[in-house]
Amino acid sequence: MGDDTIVEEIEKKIDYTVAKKPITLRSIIWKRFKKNKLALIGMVILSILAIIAIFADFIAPYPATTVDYANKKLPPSKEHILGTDELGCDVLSRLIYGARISLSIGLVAVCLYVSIGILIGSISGFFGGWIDAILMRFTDVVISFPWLILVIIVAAILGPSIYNVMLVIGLTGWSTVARLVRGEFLKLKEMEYTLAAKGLGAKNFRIIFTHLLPNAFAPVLVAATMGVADAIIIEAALSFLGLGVVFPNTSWGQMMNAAQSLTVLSRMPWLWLPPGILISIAVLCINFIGDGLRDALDPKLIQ
Amino acid sequence: MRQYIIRRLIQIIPIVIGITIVTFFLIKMCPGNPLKVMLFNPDIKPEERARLERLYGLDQPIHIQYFKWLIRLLQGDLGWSLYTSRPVTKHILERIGPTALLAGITLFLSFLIAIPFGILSATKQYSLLDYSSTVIIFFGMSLPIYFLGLVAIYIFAVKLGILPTSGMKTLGVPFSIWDRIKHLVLPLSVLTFYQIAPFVRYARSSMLEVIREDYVRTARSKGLSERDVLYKHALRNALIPIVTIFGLSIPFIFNGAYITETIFAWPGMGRLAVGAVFQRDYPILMGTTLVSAILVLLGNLIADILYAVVDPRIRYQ
Repeated sequence: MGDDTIVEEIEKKIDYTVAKKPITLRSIIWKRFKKNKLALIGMVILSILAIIAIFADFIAPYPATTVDYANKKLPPSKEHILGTDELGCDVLSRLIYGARISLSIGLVAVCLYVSIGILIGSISGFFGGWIDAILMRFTDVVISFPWLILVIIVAAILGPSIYNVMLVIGLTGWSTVARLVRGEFLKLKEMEYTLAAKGLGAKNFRIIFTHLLPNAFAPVLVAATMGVADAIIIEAALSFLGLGVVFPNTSWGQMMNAAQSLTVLSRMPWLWLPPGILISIAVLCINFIGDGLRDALDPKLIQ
Repeated sequence: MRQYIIRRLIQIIPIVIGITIVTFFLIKMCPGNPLKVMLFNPDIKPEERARLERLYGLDQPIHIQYFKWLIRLLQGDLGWSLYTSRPVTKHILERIGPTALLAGITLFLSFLIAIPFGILSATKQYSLLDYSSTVIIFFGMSLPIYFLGLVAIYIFAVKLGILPTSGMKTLGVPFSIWDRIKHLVLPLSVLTFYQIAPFVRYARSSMLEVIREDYVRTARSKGLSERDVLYKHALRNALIPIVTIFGLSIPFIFNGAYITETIFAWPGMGRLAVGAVFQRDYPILMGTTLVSAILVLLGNLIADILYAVVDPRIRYQ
């Protein structure tokens, strides 16, 4: 029959003697992610930025804080590729060391608020009832505050410093993640495997961590990736206003603080253009990666 | 419909109370008490300080302070600015106008430009229009807004000299519409560019989702013209999330422009708030934060109501 011939054809092509790699969920997601060219480019550029940040000590031509009053405010030249700032520090070196701080603030702050968000969201979604009502009302209150104003106030309370910035962003940005996790949990609670786990006598804690959380993770991962971009921008805004990273620490936002004066703005573009461009590049790459992740993780999107 | 609105309004009350509590305690946590400054003045006797503390109510337990503040708030009294000794309400009312002007036009323009762009790029996927809108989306959402503002000032005001760098009008010059427009152009363009990106993205993704739905396929198979299918059936359903986004952007009118107003020295509420942070002018800070949060809440409420108006399925939840 016709079907048999087709089956035989296919069978002929399958070589059962060669061991093939097993297909895991992770490999499927990676394959789908790879199809997105923009996301791949984003990943490559971001990795380059990360390497520059990690190996800053070896790459930067000068230490970030050599104050050299004799050479201040120089335009780009052969010795200082991007010029010097008001205190004589080499701009390129500050840019490289700034990458470290800006990127790490983004990462740490997001880890902080994703953890808080997952905690609150999972408890709220799983137990429901009045715990859910109270936690969600509190989350609504926090969401109602425009994030930037909340961040500015808390930063003004705590004072400018790198760790305070991480804390501030971390303690205020959890509300969207909490809502996200709660929504996913509400859906997943009704699934059969939750019922099965309960029937087998699994304790609540185990159900949440082993069964529900791994399945709720996809949108959280996307939100976390985009969150790193948001955190970098907010850190830059805070430092721009003088409430975040202050000298002698360097971050891209802190370098742009100089542009608050009209003289710097109009006559010394090498001071604020490079950090701004780098922030934009980093955020753009992260957005590409986040979008690629979202498309790769979406089960309804057929690729 | 009315029941839905009433239900939502009732749900909002505890959130409003929560907002007032959080604002109050947040501001109370700010370092610096106006009376502490007097600690340094040896001429002020302790009895005087105690009397002043009683006068300002600072010696009472914190929840009593909160309730007293709340009662004054409900009567419309937001306190006096520590810096200028004028009532906070007056400050806010003065500044709300420019912010509303700036952000209102921004919202209007960006909506007008972005929605057709997004929808067209969804219907003509993979065309030049689609790719250019994707690029706009990405750049609009990645560029930090103050960077864009700085670059705009640099190019147009400093290098080309055709547009003013800051402010709402040229000082000392009699009122002229052209002057006002010139001052509006830069902050408006920066804000609009920034706001177009999310709108285009939502319009596009929502339209794309709707086009894949079954009823669109049914409409096509019924033999309807492509134009009817897309712009009579699909568009209506695609507009539902867009309408909610519009509602959610209304708070942007008063909250979105903090950094832009600071850069362009625009005399709006955003700059008032940022200035208050630096001057530690707590009453103003409390007032602006409260107003912002309440407006966000109102915006959400309007968004939900609009959503229920447009999508009858929501009303029966």
